[in-house]
Amino acid sequence: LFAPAGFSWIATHHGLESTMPDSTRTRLHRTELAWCCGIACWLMAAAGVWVWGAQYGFATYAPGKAFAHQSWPHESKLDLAASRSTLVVFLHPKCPCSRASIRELERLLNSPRLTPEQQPRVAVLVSHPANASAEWRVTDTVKQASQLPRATIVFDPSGRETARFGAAVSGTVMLYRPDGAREFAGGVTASRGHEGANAGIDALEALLSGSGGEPASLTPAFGCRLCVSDDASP
Amino acid sequence: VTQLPCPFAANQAHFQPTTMQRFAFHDDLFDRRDEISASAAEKLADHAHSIYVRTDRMFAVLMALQWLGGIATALIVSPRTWIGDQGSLHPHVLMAVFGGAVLASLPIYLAIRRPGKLGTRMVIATSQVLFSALLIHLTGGRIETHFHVFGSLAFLAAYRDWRVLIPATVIVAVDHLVRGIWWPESVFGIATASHWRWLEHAAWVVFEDLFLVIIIRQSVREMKELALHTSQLEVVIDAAKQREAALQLATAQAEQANRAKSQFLANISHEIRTPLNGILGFTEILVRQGDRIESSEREEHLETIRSSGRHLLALINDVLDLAKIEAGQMQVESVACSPHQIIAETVSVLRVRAIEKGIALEYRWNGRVPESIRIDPYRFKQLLINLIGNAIKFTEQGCVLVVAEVVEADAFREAGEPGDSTDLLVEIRDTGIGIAAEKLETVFEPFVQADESVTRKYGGTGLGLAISRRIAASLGGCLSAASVLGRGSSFAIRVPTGSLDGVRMLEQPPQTGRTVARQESRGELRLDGVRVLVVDDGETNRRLVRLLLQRVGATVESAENGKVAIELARRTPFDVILLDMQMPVMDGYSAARALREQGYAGAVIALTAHAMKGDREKCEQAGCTGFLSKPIDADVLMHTVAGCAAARRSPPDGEPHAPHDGAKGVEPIYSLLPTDDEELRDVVLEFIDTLSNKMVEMETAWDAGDFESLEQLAHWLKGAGGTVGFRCFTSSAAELERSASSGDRTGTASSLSVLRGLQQRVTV
Repeated sequence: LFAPAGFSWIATHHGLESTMPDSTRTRLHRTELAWCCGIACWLMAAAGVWVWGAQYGFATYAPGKAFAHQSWPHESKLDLAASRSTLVVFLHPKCPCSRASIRELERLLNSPRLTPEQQPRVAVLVSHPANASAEWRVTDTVKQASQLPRATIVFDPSGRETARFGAAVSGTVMLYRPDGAREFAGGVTASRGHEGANAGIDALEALLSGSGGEPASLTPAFGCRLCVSDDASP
Repeated sequence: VTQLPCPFAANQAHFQPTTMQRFAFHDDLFDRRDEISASAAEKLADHAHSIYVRTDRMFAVLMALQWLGGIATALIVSPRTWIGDQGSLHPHVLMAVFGGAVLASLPIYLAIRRPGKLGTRMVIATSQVLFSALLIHLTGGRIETHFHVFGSLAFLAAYRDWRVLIPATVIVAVDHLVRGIWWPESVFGIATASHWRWLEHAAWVVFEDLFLVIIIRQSVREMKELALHTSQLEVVIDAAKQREAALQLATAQAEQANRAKSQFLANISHEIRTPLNGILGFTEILVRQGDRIESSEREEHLETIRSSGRHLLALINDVLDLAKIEAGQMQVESVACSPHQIIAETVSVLRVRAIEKGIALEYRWNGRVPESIRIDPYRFKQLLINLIGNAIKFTEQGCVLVVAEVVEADAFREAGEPGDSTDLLVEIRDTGIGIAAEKLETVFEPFVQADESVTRKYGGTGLGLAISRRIAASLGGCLSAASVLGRGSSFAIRVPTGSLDGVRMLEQPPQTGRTVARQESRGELRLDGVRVLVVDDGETNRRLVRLLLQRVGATVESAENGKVAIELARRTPFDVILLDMQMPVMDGYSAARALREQGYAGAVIALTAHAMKGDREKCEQAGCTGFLSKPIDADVLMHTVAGCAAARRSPPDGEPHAPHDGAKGVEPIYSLLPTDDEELRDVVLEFIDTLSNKMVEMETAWDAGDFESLEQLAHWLKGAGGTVGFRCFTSSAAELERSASSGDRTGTASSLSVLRGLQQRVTV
């Protein structure tokens, strides 16, 4: 395995190995064995890196969480659209992983497959600490979210409004019909911060375009924990 | 993964034969296809390794950047996480720091410590895809960040090793599979995808892999072709370089040979001009002022002319010898002969010179003496004469000592017969002027003497040692020298003895080295009544030979070419015909054949200036019975003619000898052994008796046409005659042996006739 390509051929075809002294051959075999062991160790370490990354990518703060309300919370101060669906996006303003969710939503909302009538009203609920400085309101994530079509950025100090919807993880998306019935709640990325095809965005598209029958099953959201103070919880 | 074939695992078989057939038109490429294949495989392996190393380093840098990038992203995108109004460091930051460190650490370490290895790039591939997962996570799962996965796969393809895509693809699939199983609703969304959605994602990754594998295979194929082409090009260039080098070498050798030839010619020209100057100058003096010069002065001038002529002759003989040796034309035979006899004779001949200089010349054996060894006696003797003569020449006082012994064969000697295990070592030690250490090797080079003053003082051609070393080498041995300047030198000849199995080893040599040269012939030689025909196109030569022979009583006629000679021989029964071999109208070879064809049975002695290989054989084949080389030595000429005339006068049919008038002057032949010693005298007498019987046996064998017996008897006589001091038998007996062996009746008759004549003359 470790012999030079040319040498291995020459050694094999010209019988050089058989001419080597036993001590030399033994030393060579030991060296090769040591290198094999070293590489095996390295492969295990590399596999560990891969597992570490994969596990973190699929980790969520709210695995399989059932949201409290199946319909628009009455105490919410947000407006429910009367003639179209309302899409509520919950964000932590500094969560880097949520940008993948915003990009997925951006791709969906700009999709030509949705007619103007099918386009939902978008409310981006940005929760932040009560005494947060101004920089919490002008982060890259917030700026990116403000670019979503028909989106309204709503800052939510201490996460009181967020708590009314029962969201806990940045990147969580909820879709409501005009009658207040919730059609979808969950994440829109395949894994943490991973763009690309995923069950959540597919379900949203189906619901908005009216091609989907049944509400999608719960998809996990991958992001930072939202700024929801304990006294804000319902 | 390690069992999967490496994309660069190209051995020689991958490059042939089909690939090579395309290049079969080029001889160099086809002949060296194995070499090319091996070279291409090696180049491909090297190229692949360099790519691996380079890409490893690139990924090491990328890993570090990804780690830092992940941390920066986490700090920018998600620095803190919140629980209500309580903020804390976001886990993404910790993941970026520690997770990124885990993922980046080992790949960076391996890229630095073990670059280019399969394990390293597999770890890097694994880490890179896991980094994709981490970065996607840190950037909030942005769809754009997912392109990191596909970019990483493309970047991994830079390795050009499709095996690295396997762990990357498997990890993507497993990532989605595990997420789909454990968190199905959160990965793809239960409303939009099934549990098998992970397969679709993996399939898209495999889809990209498919293209990447195709690209990798194409790239590897191109690399293979590049390696092959490069190797072929190298072979072509190498062949061209070799040809160029060979050409340059050949040119250099030719130029060197040309320079050597020029140098040789310059040397030889100088060497020849010196004695010629003496000859011509003093001749001129004698011609112009002959009658005014006093008798003593005239004698002095004549002596100068004679010594210059002899020097010139020695020089030419040496040059010819050297030329023959250099051309590989020197014939060396291997016959059984007594080493003691050869050394003793040589010492005996040279002793006169030593006595003249007032120095001692001693000869002894260390250990036992082999009765015979197998060697070329003529060349061995020539070697000894050169070295002992040199020792005497360069020794002013003291002595020259010749020591012989049989030793174990030199293990590093290249030549020699298989089975040879002994050498004959002959050392010639002198107390002469010696040779400086730095000149010891150069004295063996032609025309080189230790010092120019040596030439002035001692003379010589400067060829003796060069010839001697080459003769020693041609005998399968070597010649080495050791010397201390001013104290003396020692030259050691080491030659193989041949097998000594069955050879008697004597405790003492038959003589102790006090052999005294004796005159072969006592009294003046006379050729009264001997009829001789001299055939030569050169008037001077004809006149000279006629004068020499007439002075000792011979009747001499002459002819200027072969045709005239044949006519004369038809009319006159000559005892001996001296025949020049190169003449106009009819040359000596044709004349000899014609004489034999018309029934002439007398001796035909070839006179030739050719002293090269094969001349003697060529003359013998033409029908000549003897051979004299020009310039003619008067003594040798008269003795040869006398011997032939005696044989001619002896009836070939074995009838009782009827003394011819002309044979009266033929002198008896005495043994060279000191027959004043009673024991030796008995030995010689016994030989003469035995010879008489052997001659009768020869005649009987000749009558019966039994050439085999004749050959054996001749062989006996060849060795035995010389042993008892009658060397005159040696050459004729050797010729008889050769003629009998080849069934040559003419030659056999002629040699037999000569031997009969000699036998009549031997006495004590």
